[in-house]
Amino acid sequence: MSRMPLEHIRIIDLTQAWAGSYALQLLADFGAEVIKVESRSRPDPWRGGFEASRGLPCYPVDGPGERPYNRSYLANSVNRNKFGITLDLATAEGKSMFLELVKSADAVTENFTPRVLHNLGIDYDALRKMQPSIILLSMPAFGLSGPYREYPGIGGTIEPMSGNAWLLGEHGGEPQVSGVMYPDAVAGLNGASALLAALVARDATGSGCHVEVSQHEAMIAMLGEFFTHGGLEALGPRGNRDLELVPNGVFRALGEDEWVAITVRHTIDWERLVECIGDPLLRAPALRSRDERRRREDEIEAAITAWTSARPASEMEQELVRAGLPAARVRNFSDVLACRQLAASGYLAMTAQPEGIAPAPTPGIIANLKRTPGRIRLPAAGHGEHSSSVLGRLLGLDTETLSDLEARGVIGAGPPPG
Amino acid sequence: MSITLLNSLKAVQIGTGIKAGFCGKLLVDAGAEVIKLDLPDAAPADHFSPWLDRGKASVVLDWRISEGYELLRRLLDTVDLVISDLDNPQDAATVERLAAEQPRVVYTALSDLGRQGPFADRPSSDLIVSALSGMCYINGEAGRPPLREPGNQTAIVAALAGFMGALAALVDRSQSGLGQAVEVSALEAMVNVLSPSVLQCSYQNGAPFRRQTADGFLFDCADGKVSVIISSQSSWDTILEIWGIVPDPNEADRFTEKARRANMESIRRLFAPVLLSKTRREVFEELCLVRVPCGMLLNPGELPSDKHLIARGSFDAVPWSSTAAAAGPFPGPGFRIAGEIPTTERCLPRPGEDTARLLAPLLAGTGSPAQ
Repeated sequence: MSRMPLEHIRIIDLTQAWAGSYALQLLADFGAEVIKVESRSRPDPWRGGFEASRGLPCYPVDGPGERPYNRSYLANSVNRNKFGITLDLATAEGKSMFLELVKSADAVTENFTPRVLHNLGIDYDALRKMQPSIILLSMPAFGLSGPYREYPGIGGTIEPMSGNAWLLGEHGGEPQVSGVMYPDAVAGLNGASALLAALVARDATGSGCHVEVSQHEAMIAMLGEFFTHGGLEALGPRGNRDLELVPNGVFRALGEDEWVAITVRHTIDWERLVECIGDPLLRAPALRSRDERRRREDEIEAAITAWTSARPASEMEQELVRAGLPAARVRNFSDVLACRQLAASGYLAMTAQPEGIAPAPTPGIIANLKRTPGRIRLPAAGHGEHSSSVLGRLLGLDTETLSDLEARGVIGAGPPPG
Repeated sequence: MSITLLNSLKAVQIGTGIKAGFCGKLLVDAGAEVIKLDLPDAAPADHFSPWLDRGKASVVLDWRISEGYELLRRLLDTVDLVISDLDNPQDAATVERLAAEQPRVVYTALSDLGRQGPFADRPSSDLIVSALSGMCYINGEAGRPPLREPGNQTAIVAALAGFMGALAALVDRSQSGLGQAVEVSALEAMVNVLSPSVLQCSYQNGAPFRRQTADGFLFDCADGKVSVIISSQSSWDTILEIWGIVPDPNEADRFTEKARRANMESIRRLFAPVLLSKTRREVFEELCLVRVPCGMLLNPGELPSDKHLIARGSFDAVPWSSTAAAAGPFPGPGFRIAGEIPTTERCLPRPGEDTARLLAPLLAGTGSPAQ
């Protein structure tokens, strides 16, 4: 089996929830040894809490089980390929073990507000004293500086603050937020990117650095194209309309919750669409002009809907694609799991799940390195699952010491004793 | 805006799509030298160019003819990275072949739906990737049209995936001395982003579905809307305390920790008298100071004048061009070196303006001047 590109990299990970955990999963997928550190008493909130009754509705249909905190699809979707340990960083003993771990690490990652690491006594300066070329990745909601730096933030508040929610919504309708906490994922992509860039820089210079991702700025960066547009303030929710392509929309098809997406990239696409639909209104020569189509976009969308709403989405997809048009039936997640393209590429592989949950198809590695590909090696780490094995291996602690630490609730898995 | 992490790297970006354009922009943002390479008949710079191309060098070269082919070979011998989203299979194959001749080069190919497989030859767009990946399906209201994220975000996600793949290959190169090819499809990258929903579908028999009301946790206030996330009992108790709200005992069962999610309309009515008397900023500052996550609903046009983003230097302070005052300022990168404000002054190249400067040193023996 080929080596993986980050196989020689060890990361001590303090991040939680989606954004940070996803960033670290992306790096673990490339082979990094990621050691996820959680508090013994306060698990990662994406686990849904120690008790199912207080948690998010995030469990498999057969229930939360004895250890619900290891059965959340939220946590299990972003913590594969990692080792899970617990340490109480607020105690001298926990902090000391953490700093010992840092000595052999390449990077430390966290997504607290800026004051937290400082208050714990493990800020960048403290980490550098333990390991001079350490890289620290910080992913606070609003960055490490500026007036909002200590404000809390999660995807649902970052999205309105970034302008994304302002633009997301039906054309002419009210702003909306995404159906998932999408800015978390965007921050995760940027977090993994930042750490990789810091690793490349360290290979070139020998020096580590402190890199930061403002989740707020990461989301704003996704909207750069709108800043090319004069009259930004006049923009509102756009539906599926595009700054360049007309029409570009999702149209109702025959059947409940059935929809077809259609894009017209250029005049040739427009002629293909007109030929498929056959509506005399759309045959007007003036509509070969994109500017004219923009002016009459409402009218065009109504004509397309009149055609699509009487036809099955799958049939339209086939007909339009055969005609050379970008078109697709809108897939729900059951459809995504059955996608022919993803099956052919092997991207959705059945992977082991923790806690007796049946194996499930999960997305593969985000980028395919042909010579040294990443791999899925471990199911999602349970809360503190690897505490003894990791601390024994890396810190040389013997069984007796580990048992004592566990009995006192300093390390271990699941709720603390008592 | 750029930082200095990758200033030892040199890259060539080939292709006119947003996928390669944004991946090249990420490299520029991180300090790399990026040469945007176009064929003479490539589409002219569009209105996205000021967003994507500032700070890049621009070279125009016809590698379909023998002299150009040889020049491209020599150019690729001088770089670390090649980023491509060429959709012409012959052009893509040529570039890939030449990149593969250079053992240290990392060649990253970006596509919408994959370069092999049943969808490889399908026409595509950001909307189609969004529709196929589940992203569209999950946005919007139940029974109403599914919605993509605004703009071309599947292309940007693919660009970020390509950036990560290329850098992971460089980390490997530092150990092995060898480059390699990297492939990214926007469809696969978006499905990866949606990993929680993909797993939820398996765990919960087909979920998730679009919400009944898509405004979710947005609340009206005096001058717009705010989002308020009540993720814990302590957040709920804090809000009631600071706003002096006492729920009607007859409605108490709607406001328990388990019931609140299903009773957002009751919560709206409960909060309305307070929220409608306060501005977005008043609510945002008040709640964040007591650690309750809150966000102001902002028009993107409001962002460059936001006090926090000004303090952080998050937008270009310098106009990108004296001839196009309507565009920009543009948002900076999603990551930076802590404590640094990214530099802002960099130019938008004219198409081909760096051709002679960058190709002249490579000309000896090709028998032809650069275009």
